[in-house]
Amino acid sequence: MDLAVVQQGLAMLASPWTFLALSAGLASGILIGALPGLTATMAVAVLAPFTFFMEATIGIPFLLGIYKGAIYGGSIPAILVNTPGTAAAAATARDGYALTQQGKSRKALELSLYSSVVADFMATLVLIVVAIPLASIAIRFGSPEFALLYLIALTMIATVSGESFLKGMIAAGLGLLVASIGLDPMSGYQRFTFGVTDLLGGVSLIPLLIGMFALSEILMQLTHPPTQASGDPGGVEHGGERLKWSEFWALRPTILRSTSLGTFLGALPGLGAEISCWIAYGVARERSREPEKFGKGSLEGLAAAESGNNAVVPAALIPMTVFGIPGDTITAVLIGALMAQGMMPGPLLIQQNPGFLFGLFLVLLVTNVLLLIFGLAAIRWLKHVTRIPATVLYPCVLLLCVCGAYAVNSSVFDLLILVVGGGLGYLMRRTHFPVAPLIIGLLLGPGFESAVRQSLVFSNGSLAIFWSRPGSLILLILLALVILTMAWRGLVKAGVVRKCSKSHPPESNNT
Amino acid sequence: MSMRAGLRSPGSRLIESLLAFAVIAVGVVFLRIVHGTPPPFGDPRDIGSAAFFPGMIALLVTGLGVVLMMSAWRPRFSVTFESGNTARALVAYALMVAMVVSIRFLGIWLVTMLAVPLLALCFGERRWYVLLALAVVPPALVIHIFEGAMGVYFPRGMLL
Repeated sequence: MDLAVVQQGLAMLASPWTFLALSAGLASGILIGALPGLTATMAVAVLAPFTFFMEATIGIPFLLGIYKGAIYGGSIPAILVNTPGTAAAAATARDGYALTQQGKSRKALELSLYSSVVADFMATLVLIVVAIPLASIAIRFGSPEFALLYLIALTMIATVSGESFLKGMIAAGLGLLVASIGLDPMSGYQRFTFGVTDLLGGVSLIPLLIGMFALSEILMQLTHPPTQASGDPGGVEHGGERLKWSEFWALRPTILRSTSLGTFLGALPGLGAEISCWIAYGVARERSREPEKFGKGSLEGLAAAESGNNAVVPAALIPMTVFGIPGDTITAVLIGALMAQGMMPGPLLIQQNPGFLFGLFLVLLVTNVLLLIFGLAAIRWLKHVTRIPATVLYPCVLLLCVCGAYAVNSSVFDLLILVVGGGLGYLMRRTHFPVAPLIIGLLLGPGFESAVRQSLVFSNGSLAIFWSRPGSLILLILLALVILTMAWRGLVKAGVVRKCSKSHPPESNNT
Repeated sequence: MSMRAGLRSPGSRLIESLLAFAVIAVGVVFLRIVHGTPPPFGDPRDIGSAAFFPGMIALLVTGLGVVLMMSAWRPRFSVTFESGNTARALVAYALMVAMVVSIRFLGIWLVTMLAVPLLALCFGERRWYVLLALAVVPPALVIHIFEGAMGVYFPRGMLL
């Protein structure tokens, strides 16, 4: 590695502003994650506009801190009051709250923190080791390879992020259509602007994301008001014995296995922390010597769920940094923030800003140390936060949404996009349309279109360009595998093929 | 975990059909623009045309909308939509729309000082001192952070 790149990375890490932003992001993330109903995606989307007024070396670590903090923070109310702060902590609640009922909440919180930190650290190492070599391959990709890569990502996201593949595909298609609004990237013609000059630059991404994730969440909370947590925080004694080193050491196979699973699943587009925690939990139960203890306060179950969901965070950055493809909805927001900073995630980011990326990797490693410190403080103090009433919380979120959406371009038109996004997000969530494919279609749209059109222009309209090159042929086979897997899932779901699965399905795909 | 009441067929079937209809309508609108505009934009069969890619996607979306419509009317249709307090959400959504539409005329202060406690009312807050605090504290804090620290100036409206 170039010495200048190392120096630039170290300078980014050594900057007190980066450190402050990271700490602030982590603390806010843990706090927001601990508040039931406020999701990690919503946290990153609502706070992203704050970073537009910062340098990328400060703003992006701030958002990464929120991301990591929120995923961990979700486990605190899951353990203490049986109400997952985020969907990613849903599996944690099973054994975490059972331990709290047994008077072992401190042990559960400490195990959750240590498992999260270990998983996050190991997955970050994988990201560092894998990202650079993969990017050197991605740099050699031409338009046909990128077109197929985007198609694979969209197909996978449409397949896994909802109950119905058909609805996932429709959502992805709508996202691609919305992405085509504005000036054509190749010829510069106006498309679908309906005479509105504010649409010439396309639909503003960040206001739409805030609307779809945050406003729709407010509306969902009004539709289904949070019921009294099944756990009574007043009636359960918090505290109890601490986690022993021997207990934690005995869990290392479970943590390692769940981390590997979480890292693998996180690196695949569309599979977020909320799915990987259940898969890790299910696998841990299958491999356990005491499966009957799962759901009744099993340390193995808790460690599996927490390491499974936290390993996803760095792993989801792999497709983002290497190919510019978001691993989940949160990385979609991160891509939006990077683009607002004038950076294009993907191989070009590694080529043009290697120092920034190396600095970001170092920041990710340091975040784990900070997560440990902040997490230990949160265990002590954050149990009171879970009691903030929705009547106070959501009006404040609305205020942040409006101010944040306006701040992006100082435009009232963006506020219209915000409410349209909120309404659309609400409608989609009520009618079981997955939001993730639409957002990712919207993000990948311009790149996908350029790649398809450039490929066809090069080949004079011949589709053979998509299988005549070795790289594109491999990707085409991969696409076929994805479609076959999807068809298999469909058959299993329809009951044509029987499959025994012990893992509990996720309740929501909104992290 | 509470079990939520569900809206079963034929209600679900009708909702799914309306959704499919909306999807088809969106696809057809885009297809009409793509095919109805003269070249060089509106020539979806030309690879170099700006209409090529959206034309392809609009066709796909319309086709998928038709499949969704057909799947809603197959005998084994089993989608269940959860019922909930939709009216309350719609009132809150109307409040959000009104807030955004009126912000240019009424200004950020008045709009947020009204909208924040009104949303709290939607959530069931009835204590006047909490509503008053919500009308004053969060808007003052957030607007000052954005204006003071980030240099974002919001519309002041006719009143200020």
